[in-house]
Amino acid sequence: MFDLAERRGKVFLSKNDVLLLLIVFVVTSTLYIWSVWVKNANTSYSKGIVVRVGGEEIFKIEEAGEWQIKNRDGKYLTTLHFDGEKVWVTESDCPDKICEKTGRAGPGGSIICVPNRMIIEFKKITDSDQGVDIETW
Amino acid sequence: MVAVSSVVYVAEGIVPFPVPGGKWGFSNFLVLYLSAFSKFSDALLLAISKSLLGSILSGSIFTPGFFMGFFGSIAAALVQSVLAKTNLFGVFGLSLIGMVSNNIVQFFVGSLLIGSRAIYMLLPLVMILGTFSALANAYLASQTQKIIGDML
Repeated sequence: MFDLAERRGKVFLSKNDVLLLLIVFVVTSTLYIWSVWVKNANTSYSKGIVVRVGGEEIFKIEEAGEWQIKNRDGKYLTTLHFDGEKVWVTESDCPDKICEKTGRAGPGGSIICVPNRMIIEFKKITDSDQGVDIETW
Repeated sequence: MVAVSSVVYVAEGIVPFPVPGGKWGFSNFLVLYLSAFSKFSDALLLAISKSLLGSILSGSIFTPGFFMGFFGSIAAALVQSVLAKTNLFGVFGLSLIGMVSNNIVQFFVGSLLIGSRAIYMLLPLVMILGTFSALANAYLASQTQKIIGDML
């Protein structure tokens, strides 16, 4: 079928390809299962939302409601909703509307807007949040 | 080849993809073809040209998404071309490695731009879906070689 490719020393599928496919499948499937497990194991997340632009925290939400998010320069970025359990976006200034299409994100999940370099995610609980002052081990 | 890749680049933007903001990556089949059957310089030139022209046509030039795709495509051209010289893999294997390197570099650039590693949570699913693109691209690259070979 791919005679010319073979003549040039390039078969369509070799034994190494099958082995590689197996490795890619096992690794990606394992990582996918792990990512779903992390998303669902929401014990390390609080009920607060953090909005970051380019890594810098610009907004914090602790209560349910609707917020308009603007960057440091005052430019409108997005309209955010939080019902106390999940967060979602209903309007955005970017052309892709990826954040709107992402839907509702729960603890462990995130809403990413690449054009605005923005990430909306649940705040992680740190040791200080849990009141841990000292560890003996 | 630049024209075909650029048109596919723009057209696949309207094809639904299960991960928001993601693309199937079929415009990379000619980059794979040149990596496997020609020189690295040809594959690199096409990777750069189709990213630039495709993003100009789709109005996404110099956006964060453009930089992710641009560097991902260059990485795929480089890795595929180097491994094509070794004859360790067939066209499908090269396509698979190209897909993996493209996605890793894209997500790395994305994480730098967003300033968060949370984006990596999407990487496994994108790679699982990318395996189908890798198969399709390998088939298209082999068919291109057959057609061009018959013409020569």
